[in-house]
Amino acid sequence: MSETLRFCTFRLDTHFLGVGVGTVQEVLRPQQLTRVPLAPPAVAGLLNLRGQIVSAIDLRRRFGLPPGAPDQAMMNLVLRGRHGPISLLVDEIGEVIEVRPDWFEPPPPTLRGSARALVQGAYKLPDRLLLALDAEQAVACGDAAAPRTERQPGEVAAAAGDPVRNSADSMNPTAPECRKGEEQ
Amino acid sequence: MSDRELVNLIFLPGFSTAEMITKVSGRGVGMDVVKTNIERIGGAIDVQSRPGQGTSIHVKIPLTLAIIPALIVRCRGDRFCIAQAGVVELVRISPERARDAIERVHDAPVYRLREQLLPVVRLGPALGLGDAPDSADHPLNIVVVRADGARFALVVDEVHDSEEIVVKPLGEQLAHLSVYAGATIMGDGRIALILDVPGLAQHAGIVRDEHAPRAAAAPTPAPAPAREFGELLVCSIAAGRRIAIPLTSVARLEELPASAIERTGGHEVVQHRGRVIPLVRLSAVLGGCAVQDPAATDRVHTVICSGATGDAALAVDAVLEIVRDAATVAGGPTAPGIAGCALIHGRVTDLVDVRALIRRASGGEHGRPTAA
Repeated sequence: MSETLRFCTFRLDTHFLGVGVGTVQEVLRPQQLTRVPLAPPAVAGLLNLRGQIVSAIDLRRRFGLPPGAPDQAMMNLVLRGRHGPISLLVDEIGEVIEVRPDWFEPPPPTLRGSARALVQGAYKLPDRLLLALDAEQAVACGDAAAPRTERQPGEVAAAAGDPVRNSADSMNPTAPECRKGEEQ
Repeated sequence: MSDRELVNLIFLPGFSTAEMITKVSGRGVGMDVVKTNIERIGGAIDVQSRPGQGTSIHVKIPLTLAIIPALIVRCRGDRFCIAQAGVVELVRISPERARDAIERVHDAPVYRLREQLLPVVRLGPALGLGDAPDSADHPLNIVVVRADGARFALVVDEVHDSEEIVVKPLGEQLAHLSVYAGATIMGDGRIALILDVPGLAQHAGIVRDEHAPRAAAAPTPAPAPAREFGELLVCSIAAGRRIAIPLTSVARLEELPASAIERTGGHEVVQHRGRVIPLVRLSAVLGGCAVQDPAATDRVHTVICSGATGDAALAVDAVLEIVRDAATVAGGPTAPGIAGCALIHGRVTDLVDVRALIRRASGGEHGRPTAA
């Protein structure tokens, strides 16, 4: 008899995914999200979790999947992140299932694209495959995973024809104390 | 000394009652660190002790780390908070006058406040939310804000009340967005983002020197008038050439050992505050000068520059001086990366276009922006 692992499963598009129950803090019904202009595209918005401000990650975007139907309300899978809770938006929450470690297979070399970094491997269940999500990778969509995010906002503003920016940039007052982001 | 004062001695750095000290313990550091850290976040610590009976330690930590008065504005349907400390005044312009209230200096919108021109930032476009539909029956709401001495006119859709808000930090995914100071939860339970005025000014490319927009509007056919450049950092590069960098773009001056220069993908880079930034050898980039053998010198003088599009370390031969309003324009752009040349103390000095250099230095890695 071997030890079993417990996974909280969920559905994303046609994929059947799971994360270790230990990393899951709670599951929430669809929440009202506050959008964050200029944020990386994978950040769907902010939600109020009993007074705590939690970022919600659009997992479909992280996987490069098309957005869900407009009327589809996404469930929140709140994980324990290194710096506090963080929510993953998923289509549907499934059951908690037990798997055996020897069912695990690493991802095939043909798995490419964004899913490659996000999936640790697959557990061979009797009737289907359970993809093990790399939670740490899934929520890493700030600076590290998307080095362009800091300049993208500027490009958007320039493309939107913000003339102040274009004319005034050569004398940009970029005092070090302005640079909040890197101090934190 | 009262008993209470005596007990509080344990918080003094270096105060120890231990008879034995080791490398890590008994050195009188621990309680000092505790007190310092608690007080740093606005808390307090108190100790009550009775010999032979026991000790109670009371730690008071503020429930929230900051409560600030903030102005609530609305833009494209979303609420945003602006710390009152950064708000200078509010201007509401009636619908009839709204059309003509914003004037233009060339292509830069400005607002004339008591005969002073303020650069205009429209919050919607600045945040990538798009502009409000051009409607004749809407008043124009302007929040005059101040960041690092520069004032600018922030155009928002609506101005609401001032409220006391609790500043909460944004998660790690959003911490790099310098336009936000955090977020707060409003009375209705919804979240509103707190705008960081200096960050917004930086993002929108607001000029620190309020004279600059006026200078840009000077009639071009006339002989070029003496422009004010504010403060310039003058450096020398190879072959005795002199260059000047606007001081507002300069973040730091660093003298680095040659061994600090590393390479990635054919570019030279250095590490600065935990980040990798490109190294630009001005002698090589600005043309006409032989590339100095990097091994020839063991120390490299660099000027760390920050621009809206990133940072770069500009390698120069020597940093000479800072001049203020001492430049006269002698010519326009002569080469890529040079915004023009000027006479500074009678010497021809190239004015570096920091933005172009940074774009060029980081361009290879990030590609060109594409129009949306």
